[in-house]
Amino acid sequence: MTDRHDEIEDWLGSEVHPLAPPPGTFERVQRRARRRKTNQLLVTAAGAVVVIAGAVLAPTVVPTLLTGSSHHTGGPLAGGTSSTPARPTSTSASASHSAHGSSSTPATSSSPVSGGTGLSMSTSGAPAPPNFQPTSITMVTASVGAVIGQAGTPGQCTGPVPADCTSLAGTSTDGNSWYGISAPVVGAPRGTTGTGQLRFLNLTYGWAYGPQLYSTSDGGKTWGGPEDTHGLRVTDLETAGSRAFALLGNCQGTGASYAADCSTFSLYSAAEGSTTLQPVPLDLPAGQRATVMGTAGVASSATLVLTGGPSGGTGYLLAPSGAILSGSLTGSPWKYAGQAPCTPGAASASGTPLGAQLAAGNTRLLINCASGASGTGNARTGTGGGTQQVKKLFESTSGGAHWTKVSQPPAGGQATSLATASQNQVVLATTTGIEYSPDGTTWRPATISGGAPAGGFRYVGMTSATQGVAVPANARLGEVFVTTDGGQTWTAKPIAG
Amino acid sequence: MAARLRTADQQAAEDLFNACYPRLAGWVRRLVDDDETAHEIASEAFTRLLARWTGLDSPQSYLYMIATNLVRDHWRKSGRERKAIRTMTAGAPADPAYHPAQDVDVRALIEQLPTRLRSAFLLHYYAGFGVREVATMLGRPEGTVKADLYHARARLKAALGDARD
Repeated sequence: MTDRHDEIEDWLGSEVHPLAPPPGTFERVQRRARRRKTNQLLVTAAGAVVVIAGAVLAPTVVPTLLTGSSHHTGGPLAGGTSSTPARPTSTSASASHSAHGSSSTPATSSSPVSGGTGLSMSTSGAPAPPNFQPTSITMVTASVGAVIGQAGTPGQCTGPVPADCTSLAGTSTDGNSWYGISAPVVGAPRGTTGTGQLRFLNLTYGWAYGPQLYSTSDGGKTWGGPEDTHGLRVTDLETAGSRAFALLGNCQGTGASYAADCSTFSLYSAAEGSTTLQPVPLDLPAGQRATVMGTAGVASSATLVLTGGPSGGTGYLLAPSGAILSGSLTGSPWKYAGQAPCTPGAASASGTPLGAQLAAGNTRLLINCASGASGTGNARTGTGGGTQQVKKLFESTSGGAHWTKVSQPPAGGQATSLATASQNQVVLATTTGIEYSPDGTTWRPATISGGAPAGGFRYVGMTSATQGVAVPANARLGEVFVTTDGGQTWTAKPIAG
Repeated sequence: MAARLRTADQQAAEDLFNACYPRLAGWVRRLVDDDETAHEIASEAFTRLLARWTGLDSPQSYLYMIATNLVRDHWRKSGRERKAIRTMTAGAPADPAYHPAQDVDVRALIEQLPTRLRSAFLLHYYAGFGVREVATMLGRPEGTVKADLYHARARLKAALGDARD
C-alpha cells in the first residue's frame, strides 16, 4: 500500500509547472475587460444608490458557510408572443421557472429549456405573465431593473409543484414596459421556504431571497439554489461594489410572516461570481458582543444599507441593540461605529424594521425613528391605514457615531421605508402614502397619480437625483410606482402585459 | 495626464499578466482536465481582475480567489461528464503525455472536500499564500484557517487511504 502521508506531502510539495499564455491572450483579456468595465460602470453608477436603500432586518453572526448549489437552466419566464402573454410555469423541482404558451393554452414544459431570458439593457423577450404581484424591486441603473413576485394563478401553476408561481420581470424603460425573466422554481415566502425579495448587483449577478436564497451569475437566465442556510432565514440582502451582503436570522415566524419573529442575526457576504457566503467578522466592544445582534427568544429586527461603486464603499448595519456597525465592502471585519437614536424594534412580515428605517446618502446617514403607532393600519401585513405614529428624522455625518435630529415627518401612517437621493431629497414610505422632503427638514405628501394605494407602500428607493421606485404594500395591485422628479410625484406602472 | 495614467495602468496590468499568468494557468492546470480549460479559466480570472483594476489592494489575491471560484464552477459543471468519460475509458491505457496519476487522484479527493476546507486548502497549499493572507482573503480568523487546513489534510489522508486500501 502507498504511504498516504508521503503521498500527500509529495503532492503538496510538487512544483506547479507554468503554462505560457497562447499568443494574443493578453490583448484578448484586455479587450474583454474593457468591455465589461464599460458595462459595469454604466450599470452600477446609478444602481448602487438605489438597490441599497432597501432596509431589512437581520440578527446574529453564525460563523458557518453557505455552500452554493448547482445552477439550473430554465426557459424564459414568459415565453408567449407579444400579444399572448404566458402564464408562469414550473419546469421541475430543481429548475428555473419557465413559461411557454399562449393566452388560451397554459404553458407546459417538462424539462429545463436552454437559453432562458435574463436582465438586459434593452427590453426584450415575451411580456411578463398575467396577474403579476410584485413584492420587491431592484434597479441596476435608473431605468433598468427587475421585480419579483407571484404570478399566474396561485396553486395552479404548471409543473410538479403547482404552488411554485414565483416570477421575475425586467424593465429597461423605467417601468414603462416589462418582459419576463427566468425565475427560480420556488413558491412564495412561507415559513422556512420560498423567496419574495430580489437584488441584482449588475446585469450579471443577482440574488433572490427571503427566507431561502437563490443566485444567478448570468443575469437571471439560470438560477442556482436553494443554498444551504444552515437553518437560518435570509432576512435582508443588499449589493454594492463587487459583493452582496446578507443578514441571516434565527426566526420562528410562520406563513408569510417568515421574518416577523427573529431573535438573533448574522452578517454574511459573497463576492460576485461566488455562491458561497462567508461570515463577516464583527469587531465589537467586549460588552456588546453577546447582545448587539440580538438576544435569543426576544423578537427584533435589523437593517442593512450599502453605499459605493465598483471600486469600494461602506456598509452600515442597524443592529437589534440599536448599534450602528460599519465596514468596507471587501468582506473585512465590520466595527462598532456608534449608537443610533433608536432601536429597530419589531419586524414586518418580510423582516423590515417597524421602529426605525435607515438610509444612506452621499455624505450622510439618515434614520427615521418611529414610535407610538395607533389606529387600524397594520405595517406588519401592509393593510389598513390611517395610523398615527410619532416619527423623528435624525442624520449623521460621522458614519453613525453622532446623530442630530433634523425634523419630525408627518404623523400619518406607519413608516415602512426610507430613501435619500443625491441632491439631499428624502422620501419616506408609509402605510398611507409617500412623504417627500427636499432636504429632510420640511415635509409634504408626495403626489401619487390616482391616489395612494390602500395599505400604502412597503418600499421606496431613489436611483438618481430625479428617479426612484416604490413598491405598494398590496402586491395584488400588480404595479410599482416610479418618480422622475426626485420623489415629488409618483406614477403607477403595471407589470403584466 | 489622464492619458499618462492610463498608460501606466496598462503597463502595470501587462507586467502583472506576464508575471502571474503562467503560474496561475499552471495552478489551474493541476485542477482541471486539459490545457485549454486551464487557459480559459486563467484568462477569465485576468479579465475580471482587469475589469476591476482600480481599488484592489491585492490583485494577486483577487486573481486566485476568482480562479478558485471558476475552478469550483468548472468542477460542478463537468462533474457528470467527467464521471461518464472515466467510466468509458476505465479500461483504456493511461495517457502518458501528462501528469502523474497521483495528481489526478488527489485532485478528485480535493473536489470532495467541503467548500470551507477546500478554499483554504487550495489557496494555501496550492497557490502558495500564507495563512495570514488566506485569512484575509476568506474573511476568517487565522486560527480558523489553520484549523481548516488541519482538517483538510486529515480528510485527504483518510480519503486517500480509503481509496487505496
